[in-house]
Amino acid sequence: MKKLVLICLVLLVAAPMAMAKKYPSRDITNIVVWGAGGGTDVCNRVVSAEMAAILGVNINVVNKPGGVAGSLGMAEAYGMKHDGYTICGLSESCVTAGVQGGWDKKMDVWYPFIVAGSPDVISVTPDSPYKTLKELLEAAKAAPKTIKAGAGGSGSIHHLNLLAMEKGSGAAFNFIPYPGSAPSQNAAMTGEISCVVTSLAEQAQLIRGGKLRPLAMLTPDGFTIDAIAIPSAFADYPGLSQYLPIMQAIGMAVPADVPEEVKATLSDAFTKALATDKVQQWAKDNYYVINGKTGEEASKEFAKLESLFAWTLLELNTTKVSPEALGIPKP
Amino acid sequence: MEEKKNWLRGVDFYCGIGIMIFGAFVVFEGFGMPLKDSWGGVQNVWYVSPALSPIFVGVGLILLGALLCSIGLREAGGGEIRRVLGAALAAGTLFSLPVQRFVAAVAIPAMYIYVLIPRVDFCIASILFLWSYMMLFYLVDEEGFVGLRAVFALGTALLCAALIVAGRLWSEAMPHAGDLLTAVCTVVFVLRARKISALHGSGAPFWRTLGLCIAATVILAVCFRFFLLVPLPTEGSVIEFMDRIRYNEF
Amino acid sequence: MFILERLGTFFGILGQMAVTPMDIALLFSCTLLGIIFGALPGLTATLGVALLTTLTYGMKTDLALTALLSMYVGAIYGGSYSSILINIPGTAAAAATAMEGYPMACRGEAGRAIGLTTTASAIGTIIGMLFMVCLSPLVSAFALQFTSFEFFLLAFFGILISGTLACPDLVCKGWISGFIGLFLALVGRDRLQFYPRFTFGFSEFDGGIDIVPVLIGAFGIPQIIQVMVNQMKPGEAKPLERVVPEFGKIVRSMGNIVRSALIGVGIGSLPGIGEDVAAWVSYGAAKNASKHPERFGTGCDEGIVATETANNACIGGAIVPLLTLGIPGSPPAAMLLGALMLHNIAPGPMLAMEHPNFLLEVTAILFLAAVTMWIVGISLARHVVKVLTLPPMLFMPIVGLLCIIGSYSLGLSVFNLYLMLPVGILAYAMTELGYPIAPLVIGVILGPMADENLRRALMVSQGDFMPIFTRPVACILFFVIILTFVSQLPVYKRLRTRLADKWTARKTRQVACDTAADFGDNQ
Repeated sequence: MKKLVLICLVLLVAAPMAMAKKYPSRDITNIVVWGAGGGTDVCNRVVSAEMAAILGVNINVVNKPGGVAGSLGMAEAYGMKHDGYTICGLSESCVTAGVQGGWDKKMDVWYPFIVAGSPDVISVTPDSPYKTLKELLEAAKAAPKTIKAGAGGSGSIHHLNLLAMEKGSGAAFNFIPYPGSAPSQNAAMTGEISCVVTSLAEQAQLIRGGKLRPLAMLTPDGFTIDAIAIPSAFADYPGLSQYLPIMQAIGMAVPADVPEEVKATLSDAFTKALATDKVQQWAKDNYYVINGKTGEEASKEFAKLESLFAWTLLELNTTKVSPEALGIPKP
Repeated sequence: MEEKKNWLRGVDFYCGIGIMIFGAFVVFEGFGMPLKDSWGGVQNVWYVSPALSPIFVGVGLILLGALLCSIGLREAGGGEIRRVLGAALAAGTLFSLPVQRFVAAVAIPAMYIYVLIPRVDFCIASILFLWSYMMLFYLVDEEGFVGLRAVFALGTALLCAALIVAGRLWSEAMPHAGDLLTAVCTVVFVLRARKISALHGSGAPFWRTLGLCIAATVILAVCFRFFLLVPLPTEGSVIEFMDRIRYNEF
Repeated sequence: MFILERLGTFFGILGQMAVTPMDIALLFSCTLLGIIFGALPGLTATLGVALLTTLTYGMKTDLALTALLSMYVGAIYGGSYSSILINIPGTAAAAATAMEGYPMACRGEAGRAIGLTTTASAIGTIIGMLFMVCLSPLVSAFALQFTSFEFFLLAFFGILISGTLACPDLVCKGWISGFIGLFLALVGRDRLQFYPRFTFGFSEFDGGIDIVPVLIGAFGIPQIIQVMVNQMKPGEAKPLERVVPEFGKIVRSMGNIVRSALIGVGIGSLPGIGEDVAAWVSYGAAKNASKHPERFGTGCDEGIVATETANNACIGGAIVPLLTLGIPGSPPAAMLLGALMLHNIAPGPMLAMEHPNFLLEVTAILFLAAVTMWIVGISLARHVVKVLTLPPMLFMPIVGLLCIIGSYSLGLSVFNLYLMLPVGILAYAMTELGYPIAPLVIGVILGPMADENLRRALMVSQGDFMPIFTRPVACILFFVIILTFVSQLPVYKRLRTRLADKWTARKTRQVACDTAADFGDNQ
């Protein structure tokens, strides 16, 4: 009995000494802050699988949705040891967690890796009378706040895209909030709302199947799916370039104070993973635009998004904590 | 049976009052929600306001509470109602044996969930949880419960106090002190239970129960951590030990 | 011709799968794994499918699909085991099964109950599958009819049904329980405007109260406390009765089975609503349509068949809009969507063109999974029933540990555990005072749906209630609600009994006349 206790004590003491091995020597956990099956989740699973093959250890993807804008998942991931064995799978919507009162830090506590984003597109119900963006916006200008529009949840990136489009063109829609992109797309299909703004990746299958009619891309370039050519909204309304594009940024992050060696290894594996055929093909098939920024550059992009989101939400009167209190600069 | 039903109606009367108060609270909170102006970019009208459902639920609760009160009053009568109040306030009921057993049955998971899980290694915490339940209810009969309750109450109180208060102080210096303390507490419970069950046992085999307790915990922890890949709430010394076996870091 | 061609391809795929050893091995092992996942409280079908998604990432698509679908079918069925044996639902979908299954187990008919649930689940899965293969355009069209008004009416119907369920004591206690459930559903940030309701400043409440901790807290914790405090003794080993239900009984229950399956498929096809709602609505409908509604809640066959058929038929119903529109019909189907995207299959309207036989493959797998589930279930039944002979006071703490770690695994949230205990104590107090728990759980599940959709529907129609009468599905739902409400009123019941009496009196007079006439003739 005494010998057993002695051995246990020795092991407990020896523990920290045994930890000094090359990173990574154990499985890594990727905590995705959004629900299973969603864009962020699938993206993280695909890239994590490739990174796992490159690093030689398993990367286990788990979902921890909840709180506001993924605050619960971010808090959990940030609360684990900052040794690089816990990654957080997040997206641009998470930048609103601070001002909505779920989180008490800014996004600069993360060292992010941005995988990809999908450009936003505005579509209408197939049997609606609007054939081009011009028709829709002119109708909206003629009867402000009557044409019903959906864009995912209130304060989501798609909502921001809709608001930016309204600002840049002078049209005003009646915004109907839904719990996410998918329900708002459903509503557009059933005719409950007239138009919907969500990402191309989410709408692609419905557009190809003729369940939604795309009017324009909310980015400088147009896009072509199958035989359908979707023009850019900037063509008819160059004024939009002042407010758009607001691109998605889906990816992962580690706390900014992990050891430099961890950051280097992860960045290397990340870049290699993005270059693999599997990821490239997946992005192409699902209409994602690969970003690939890591570290400094990615942080800057997140900071920009954070400013934009925080101050827009303040205007919409949905913030719990003022952006100034958190030290977020104006966009 | 009639007596029991009357008693229930008496209790119903007080419950009805409680429900009405709760309903009033809900309605009050509801009126504090934005009924006009816009919020979140959406213009508010009465049917859009977030206050719609709370007011509906609150009013419903008030009406139902009143209904319950009136049924209680009608069927039990004023006398019974006063008797229920008297019995509830009497000192005897609060400390009777059935109430103690109920408190113990609730205190064990409460201790586990609120104090142990966030602070102590999952395996050790679970062993203490399982053992407390088995020790107090399975191994011993009612007299044995009386003998064990002092040790259980004291041990649990001390452990919780130590973990909550001192935990903050020593978490940097000695990361596994909490685990050790809980393990010590478990050993004390085991030894005391051994003694008492010898006298007031319910016939349950002692070592087998202890073995089952430990085996169940280890099997579940291994399944969840290594097969289902679920990161456990607190991964202390035992789980780190298992990790090192898994990754052969000896 | 087209149908024959499709049937031919279907049987071809079926035959091919039935003789491939890898497929058979995967079917059996994943169904068994699914049953275990379903049976353990706290572990859900969604978690099981999520886990297998990660594990099968490297496999070929059709093998991965076999594994995932078998797990899904097994898990939805497996929940009934713990519902019947220990009165703690293994999954939310099996909560309704506990209402009939546990009383049956207490009477010593656990084996028969499991036989019924197994057969009902298998038949439900197959009927759901039939809808998938033959009527998928109809199901998708049905799903597309649902806008906010229809969702609200459906949620309202579900909540109304919960008020008609068995009440151990006063009827108004059931309503109170439902309203408490509705209150719990209100906690969190409202879904339309993100205004925090009843969160008292806790950011953990922002997402609302999860259903799993409420379910385990409401069903599991009172059961555990009751067992421990009352020192329950293990049941005796009863002589093994016949597990497989008689064929004649199944035929007689066909009406019940078909109705429940239709409800299951219908609700499954609606996005966001899953197997649990299907089971409750089907249970309520069965009670309303039954000739002996008072038997519900005491362990009656009709109830258990209704719930299990519906929740398994829901699987087929959920997969149809998933594959044809890319809209998953239930939470595990949403996980399935993620899994398919990982294998580079994008469900949606283009699926039929890019992968023409995909729907048939899925149908074949579902059929085989249903058969496998039946075989595994019936074989396991005799052994699983022996759980009842374990000393409950030893068994329950381990079940408690499982519940706790299970509900933690779902969202990795210790806060969920914090919620579980107070809800459990409240549920225990309610049970002791004669309040039914089922309406509370239904309120928590359907409350958010009703609230959000009513407000959004009114937002879209700008305060106008007319769309209820102009939209066909909404109109039908509205009349069903009125009918259900009216049938519960004492006035209606008296009318019905009086009419029934008059009819019987008439019949007796008729028979008396005939007999008198016969006599008359003979004389």
